[in-house]
Amino acid sequence: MLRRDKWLIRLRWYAILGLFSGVILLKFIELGPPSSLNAMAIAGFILVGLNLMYLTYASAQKQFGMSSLVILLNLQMVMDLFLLTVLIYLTGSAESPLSFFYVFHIILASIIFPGGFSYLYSLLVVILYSGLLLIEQSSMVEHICFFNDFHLMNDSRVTIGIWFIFVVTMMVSAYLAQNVTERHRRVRDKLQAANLKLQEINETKTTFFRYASHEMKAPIATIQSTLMVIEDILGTKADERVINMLNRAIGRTSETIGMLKDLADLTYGNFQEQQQFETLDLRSLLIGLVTDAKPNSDRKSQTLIFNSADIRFDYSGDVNALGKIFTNLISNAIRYTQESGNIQVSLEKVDLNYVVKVSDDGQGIPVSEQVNIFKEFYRTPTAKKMISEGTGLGLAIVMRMVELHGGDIQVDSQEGRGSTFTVQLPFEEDL
Amino acid sequence: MAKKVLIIDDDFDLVEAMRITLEAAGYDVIDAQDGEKGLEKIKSESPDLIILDVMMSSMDEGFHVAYKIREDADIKDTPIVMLTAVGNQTGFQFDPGKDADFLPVDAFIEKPVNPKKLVDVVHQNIKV
Repeated sequence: MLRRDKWLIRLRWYAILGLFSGVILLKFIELGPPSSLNAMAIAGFILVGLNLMYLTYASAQKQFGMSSLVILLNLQMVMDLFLLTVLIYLTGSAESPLSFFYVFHIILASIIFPGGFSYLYSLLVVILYSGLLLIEQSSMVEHICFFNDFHLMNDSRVTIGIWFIFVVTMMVSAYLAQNVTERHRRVRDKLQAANLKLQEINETKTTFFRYASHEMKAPIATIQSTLMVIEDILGTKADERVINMLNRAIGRTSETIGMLKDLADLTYGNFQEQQQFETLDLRSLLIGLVTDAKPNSDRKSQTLIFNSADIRFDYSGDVNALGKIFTNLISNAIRYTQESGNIQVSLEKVDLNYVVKVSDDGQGIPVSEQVNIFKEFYRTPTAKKMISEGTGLGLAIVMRMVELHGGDIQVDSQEGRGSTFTVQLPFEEDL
Repeated sequence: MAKKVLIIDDDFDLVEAMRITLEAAGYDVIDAQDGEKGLEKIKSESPDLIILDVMMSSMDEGFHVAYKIREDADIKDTPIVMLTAVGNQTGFQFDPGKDADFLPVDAFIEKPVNPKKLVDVVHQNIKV
């Protein structure tokens, strides 16, 4: 805003220079009554005084704050329009070509102020100009015959003068429009550069995740393999405490491997070469995943069913990513639903979306926690209480994979009454 | 005479863990630290089964070694069990039946290696 203020002040100096040059030129070519030209010069000096005041204020702006600067900018614009109206009056009102200059004041207002300010200024211009014409018509003020009763076009000085004002209006309008475009371009370039930088940072982060998880996973996998061999050889020969210790160590290495795997999954799709979109039947995919999950739900005597119309649901997606989405949701439902509970997976077509719902009648998620469940490393206190292991990355991965497909995921849950996770996957009609 | 298993893997500790398990199950175990040495040993030692790691000096060295084995008339029938952490790395699950065309191996076993699974897989795939 301060930069715009200083720019407006600088433009006003050019306008003042133009005004004094005009007055001198008019005196030189003897066009216009001397009293009008003198009054125009006085208006010029008033403008010099005002602009010096604006400049002083702009230099001290920090002490006054943003809102007072906005008020000052409005005051400047109103004063400018008022003085322009006075100049139009001094140069013949309706005859005066200076009325063209209203145009770029409106453009200026649209550049400087946000929202619909330019419409307000258009209204102000209409009021000032109409008011001027009206008070002249009602003889409240005397009309100034700037052009000596000549028919305008008979005097080449008048024609040239009007032509000149027209040219200035066009040039200034073009300058202002160009200025706006230029600023817009600069902002866009800056945003593009910032975006590129962010992408680079993201890729560096992804590369780091990828290599770090691989570098860490390989030795941990070897440690676990070694522990399993030791456990296998010791069998029942060793002290029970040693066997328990070994089992715990194997469990902890499994957990660590799981977390590293999840971290790698979180960055899945960041590299374009990783994404493998292909046309598939979403229904077959879900049936396969539900079948895979069945032994786990059976172990808890849960009912796991799949519902959908018996038709193909052709969809262009990444099989690995879709597998992760629904495997995660189904295994969560199994994990956090009590024994003998019910889990239902359904698929339907709604407009241009495939809607997959994974519902359970388990513990549910309190409303206050629902906003957090898709955050990385977040686990609800209930989830932690029910199952101690877990990285809290599962739903963050699900969300990432859904986004990869341009889709959306929502949760609808009531504490003690179960949860429904709804995944919407948009598709193109011609598939 | 005991059947001979060649492990091609650059992870010494993992090789030792598998060696202990397989020797306890009655197999002879030899090893090589990279693909090139592995190919030499296949020719000189004629193993009855090869356990081949995917990621060694490069991310996919094991794949190239598998292709070379299948292209060489003298050794192409040796069963290969591919040892992989790739499944976990990329979420890419191999299926020897489905992926046989582009991955000419007989079975996969994932790291961490479960000793019982290792013995089962070797037993099921070794040349009779």
